[in-house]
Amino acid sequence: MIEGEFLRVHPSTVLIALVEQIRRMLGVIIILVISTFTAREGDPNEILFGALGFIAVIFAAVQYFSFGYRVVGDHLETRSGILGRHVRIVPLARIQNVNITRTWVHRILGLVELQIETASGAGAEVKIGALQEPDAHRLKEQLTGISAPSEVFAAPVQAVHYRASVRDLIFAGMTENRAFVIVASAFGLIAFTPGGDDAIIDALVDWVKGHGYDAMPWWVYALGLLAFFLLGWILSIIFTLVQFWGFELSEHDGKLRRQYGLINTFENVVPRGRIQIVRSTQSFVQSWFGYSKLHAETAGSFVLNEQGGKTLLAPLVLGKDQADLKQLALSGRDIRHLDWHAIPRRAFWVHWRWSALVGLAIGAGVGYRWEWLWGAGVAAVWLLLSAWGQAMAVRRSAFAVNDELVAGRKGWLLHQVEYLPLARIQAVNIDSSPFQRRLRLATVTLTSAAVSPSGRTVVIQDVEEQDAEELADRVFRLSQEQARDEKSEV
Amino acid sequence: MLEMPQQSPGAAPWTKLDEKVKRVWRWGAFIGPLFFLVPGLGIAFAIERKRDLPVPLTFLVVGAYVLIAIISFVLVDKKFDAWRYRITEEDIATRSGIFWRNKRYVGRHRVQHVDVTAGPIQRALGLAEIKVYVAGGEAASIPGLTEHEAERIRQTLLRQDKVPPVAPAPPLPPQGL
Repeated sequence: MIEGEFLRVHPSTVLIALVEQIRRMLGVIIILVISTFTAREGDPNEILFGALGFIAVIFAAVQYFSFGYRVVGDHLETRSGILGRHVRIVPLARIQNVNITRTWVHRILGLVELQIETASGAGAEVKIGALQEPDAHRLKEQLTGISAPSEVFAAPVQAVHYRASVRDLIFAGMTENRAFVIVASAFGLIAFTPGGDDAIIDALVDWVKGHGYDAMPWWVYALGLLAFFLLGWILSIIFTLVQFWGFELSEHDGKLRRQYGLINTFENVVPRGRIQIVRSTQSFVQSWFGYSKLHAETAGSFVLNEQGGKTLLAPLVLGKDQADLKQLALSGRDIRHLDWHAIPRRAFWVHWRWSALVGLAIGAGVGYRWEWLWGAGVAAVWLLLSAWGQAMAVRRSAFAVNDELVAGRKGWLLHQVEYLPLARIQAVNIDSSPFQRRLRLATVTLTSAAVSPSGRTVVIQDVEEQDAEELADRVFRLSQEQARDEKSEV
Repeated sequence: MLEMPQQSPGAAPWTKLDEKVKRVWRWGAFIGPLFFLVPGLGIAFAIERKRDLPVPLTFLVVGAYVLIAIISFVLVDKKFDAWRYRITEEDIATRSGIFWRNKRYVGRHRVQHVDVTAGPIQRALGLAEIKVYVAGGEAASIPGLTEHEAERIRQTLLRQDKVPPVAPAPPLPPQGL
């Protein structure tokens, strides 16, 4: 590579950027297509279409022609923009990670994309569009100082710790129902269809009527609904298969390496020092079969494929293998000998009283609007169900501390176990609401440095007030000591 | 008065905020709920124009505003009594809240950066607020410090090497700058 001259990426970048644009505008395009069919004479749909396409092409071309990159000394420089010149300089020493990914377009063209992460957190700092594989390797080598393997997706692997079988993935898709997403998007699509409020529904009704079903019997609706859910179920399985095809978690130079994907392949290396929280979740169906899903919350990671810092470690893993993987992700910290403390049973009242209030309000509403007997029935069912759920949730809730980590367990329909190494704790909170104080309970919140705002804390709810103080004190003291010992790591 | 939970023996004493912060909070009691009052009034007007209601909705909204403002005004003293902070060699700790109580502990060496901010009312009274950030985001904030004290705490927190504990404070310059 010649120093001092900005290098262009592969010309096919224009095409890839175009596909990306289309993918991003898919919602708009679908609406436009539908509205072209439902539009009246003279609606400017074709013009809109043309304008959008034109803009997309221009953008992609500008992106290609304005983007340049070079390595100068110990810096990576990129330049972009035509009107506003944007130059970005990344010191090579700050580069944490270089990922190689390819979407299906890349695969067809035999190209790859380089994503360069620094420690700052929010995703890839620099993306270098489309490169030919050898170029990408040379650049990666230059950036990281580590010699690259000859083949992208066949890096020398020290030990494979987890490999998702097709059966695992099908089961994951089956038990992790995304039907709700499909239903929601279908409704969203109908709601956003221009050219008449319920054009699609009207058309459907007309079609049904035209076929001689003036008054459809109830089972037609039931069958339709069933078919819809079945479709969602099958789609969910297919999505899971395509997304996580060949999922493999391995250890590579002491780092965790993941690779997966059927159409868009993704390869990524997670330094274990950046893992903050390890979390396993299982839906109640999965819990019958003893399966669960494993995630790690990391400080600074990809927002591209995975929502901010939520790093999937295993889509589905059987109970007995879980402990090994968790321990692997926690750099060998011991999770097998944990002394779990259940939370007091009276914690039930803290949460149930809210759902009880909601149930009574709904019952009152139903009673006022229709029939008081119905209202009472609804309220009673609600109260019983929520009481049962809350009781189960309280029974499952527990926490454990040893010299290395804190663990928490909770959930009724969705079981969750989380582990936070003490050395990763940034801050400790103790909170108590008036009602909790009357029951002498408190909530301890332990905050880590993970990027995901919703995932960075381990919350231990409704423990004895005294336990909360002791837990917070002990955890905080130990975390201070341990963090000092490995200060260089974060 | 509030009971003070026993902290580990030998720990530095908890410090109260500057008395002047009460004035900031008293103003805030009326200014804060304005964010609900203004849109609330707008919606109430819109509904009243559309249909006849047995109760004047706008009065209800104003009444709710006045009630909330008075309650938070009255509670300012209690809030002040509940607020404590403590900065030692090891950690930053705050405790606050009358009904919903909260205690925070942040390790000193976890601190990434420290902000000193002041709103217009705080500035008029010579007060400032300190915000402490760790790698995960904002971890603690201490309102109602004199500008001088806030600056001193900021400097202390940002010093890397071990410094003498802050709590037994060296003599301060006269108050009310």
